[in-house]
Amino acid sequence: MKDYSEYAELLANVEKPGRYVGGEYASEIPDPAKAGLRVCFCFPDTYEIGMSNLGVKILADCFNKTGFAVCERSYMPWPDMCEQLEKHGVPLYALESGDPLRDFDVAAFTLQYELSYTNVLQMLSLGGIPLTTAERAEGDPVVIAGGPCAYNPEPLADFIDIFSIGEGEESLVELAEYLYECKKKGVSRAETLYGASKLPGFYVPSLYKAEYNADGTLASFAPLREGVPATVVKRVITDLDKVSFPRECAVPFLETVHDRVMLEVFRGCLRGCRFCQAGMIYRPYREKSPETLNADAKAAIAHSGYSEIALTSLSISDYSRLPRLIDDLLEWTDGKMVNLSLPSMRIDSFYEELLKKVSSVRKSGLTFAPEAGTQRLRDVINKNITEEEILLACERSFDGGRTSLKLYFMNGLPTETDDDIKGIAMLAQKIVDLYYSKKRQGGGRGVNVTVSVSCFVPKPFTPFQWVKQDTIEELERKQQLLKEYIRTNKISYKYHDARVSRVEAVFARGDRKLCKALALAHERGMKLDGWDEFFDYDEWMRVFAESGVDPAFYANREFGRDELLPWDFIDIGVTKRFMKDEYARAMNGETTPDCRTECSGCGAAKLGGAHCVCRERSGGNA
Amino acid sequence: MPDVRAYFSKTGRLKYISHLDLQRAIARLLVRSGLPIVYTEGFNPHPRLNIALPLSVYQEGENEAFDFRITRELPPEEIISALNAKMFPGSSISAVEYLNGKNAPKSAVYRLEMETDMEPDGFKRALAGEMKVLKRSKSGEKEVDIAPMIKLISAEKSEGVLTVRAELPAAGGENLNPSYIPAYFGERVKTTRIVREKIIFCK
Repeated sequence: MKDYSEYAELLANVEKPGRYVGGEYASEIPDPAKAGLRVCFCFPDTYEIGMSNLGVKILADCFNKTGFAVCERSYMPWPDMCEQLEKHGVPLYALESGDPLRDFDVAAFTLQYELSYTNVLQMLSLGGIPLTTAERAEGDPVVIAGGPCAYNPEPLADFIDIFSIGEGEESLVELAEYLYECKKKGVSRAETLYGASKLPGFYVPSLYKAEYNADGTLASFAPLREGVPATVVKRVITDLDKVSFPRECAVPFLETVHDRVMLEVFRGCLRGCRFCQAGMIYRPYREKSPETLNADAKAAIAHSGYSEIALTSLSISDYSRLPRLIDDLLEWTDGKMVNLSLPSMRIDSFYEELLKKVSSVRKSGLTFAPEAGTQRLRDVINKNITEEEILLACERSFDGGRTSLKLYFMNGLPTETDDDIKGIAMLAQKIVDLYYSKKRQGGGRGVNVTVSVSCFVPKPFTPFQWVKQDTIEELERKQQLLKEYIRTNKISYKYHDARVSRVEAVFARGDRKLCKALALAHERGMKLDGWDEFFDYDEWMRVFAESGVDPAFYANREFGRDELLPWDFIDIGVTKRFMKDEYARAMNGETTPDCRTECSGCGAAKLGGAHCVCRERSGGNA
Repeated sequence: MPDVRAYFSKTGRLKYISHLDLQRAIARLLVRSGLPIVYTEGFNPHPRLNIALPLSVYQEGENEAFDFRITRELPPEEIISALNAKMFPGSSISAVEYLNGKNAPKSAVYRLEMETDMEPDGFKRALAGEMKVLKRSKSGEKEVDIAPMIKLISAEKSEGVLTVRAELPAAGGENLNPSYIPAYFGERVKTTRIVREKIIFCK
């Protein structure tokens, strides 16, 4: 194992050097020197964020279990470390072996948010890997990428050799086997990529051609070579109880964002909020059994020494066996001083009882996400939650002794009017009034309701994928308007930078023409755009202008319902037809029931085998 | 309930780990070990743990110590092997002992390896005079003569590296971070390593 003495001079001059040395408990991997295929998992953000990502842990573990692939880790260095690496001519290295990224067979990136794209380029160049597919030669690493943003891979088409679409536990092992075979046989880079394009769940952008109309919209999108599929179908794991889950993850020294055991209870979501990409791309809804989860949790706690388990899924109270799971966990967690946290609760009747149980070890913050301030707008976005339910849940949590809670909303949703903005303030005020409606214990400091408002970003593969984003001026006007409506210091008001959301929207709905802008942004040294202190909107506008990109074309344009969309060649199961219908229903203020109540025929069930909830219910066909 | 002191090393790449991060890592080590550890009371229970003397980032420690409490007395070898079985890489527990009452650090022995043109005699001459540095403390910065605080054990030179071993105060009232020594000499000295060889406790 490396002792990092050769990097001492670099590490002597950076903040948090622990980010760059690895060596965490249980971070040992098979000997990289004996690896048949060397993979480096590259997380395009800081160590603390990357080490919190459950997907990376799962997939690194899948590689390391193959017996021939050995997977190491690398994270986006903070600017001080970027500077040190450049100054000393040291390429970005993997934490386990200390070898530069360019020495690996595969560099695997996960794309969690659009604003990390510049970090992908930065890591490639720091790691000594040529930036574009076109520039890479025989012997250079194969650069692959997956994760939620890979569902619209086009803005990164020039830079990534192979995209992985969907869940990777099975497909990445297949890809690793394939790449290992190619390596052994000495197959050329071009032929290797061609072969990869035929593997289910993989997209090789260099083998497709995009043509554009005079107005900039996509005219055609087609494979360049015979045998390359015109449509890429996302991969899903049908039986989550059989999928590999890493019980023995590395335990970081540094405090990470999610410094706890993360237990993924199910994949997909029953709810179908119309703005939510995760709710669509992760369909069909599939659960793990309480037995599997309890055994995984027990093993992961014993292994790590963590003091908290988070149940991480999209809307945790939708889990059909939640009471049973909580009871099973509480049977042993209290005795071990382990806290349970349920970060994404919906508000319903089960809530009160659960709240009491879960707070038995430690109290954690309470958050609700009504998303919109009026019932009308909540119906438009299909957030099926009523004001009555919200107030009831708040009342219960106040009765339970809580004095603060946080509410999440969104500005700029389709059809939003100033009345909806006013509705946010009124709802928050009602919650404050509710607190003071009776005498409460320990109410010396009173109540605090935090209202946190983000800006709507239209995302691919959602019913709102066609919707134009409000302009920055309009978003900022709404933000100020809400500020005026809030009349009490019992409400703390926070809102997101609208300019950040606009750049996000450009890349979210972007096409290949954005590759040029990304390359230019990289040339200008832009990186860590997800961090307020580094995000530079004016610089982004200059970069767009100089690379001939009109940001409004992507962010502020209503896309034609019959327009060919850059991501249409990907099949996520959920059909475009369904999303169009949902958009139409939204405009009529009609809601759509959740999947457990009634199958709406979204199309995802075809990928889930017998495991989609709608099949379990009725044998319904999508 | 008995208090236990465990001795461990924090060398090599572990020198990049901060004191706070180390505290968290040791708390998790205690939990993993399966030993009958005692937790703090209150809303946020965590293992009762006290690290004898914080070690600055970039400094190494060959015989560091942390104290914790267990519910019943166990043979020391059993505690050592339980902890070592779950220890983070690059470190191990060398010994444990049961504590009788409060046993706070008094001083510590450091080894400084410095690249410099200075000879051992030059260093000793400096030590015989005044060594004024700007010392930071909670109450702000002030100029302090650190020479009287340095109890020299040895000073040797080999291959351009001056190795100084010295005992420095490490009590609550009076303490000295070894990094002030190379700092006093400024540009003349390039520190390559600072190692805390051992902590000396009040008896």
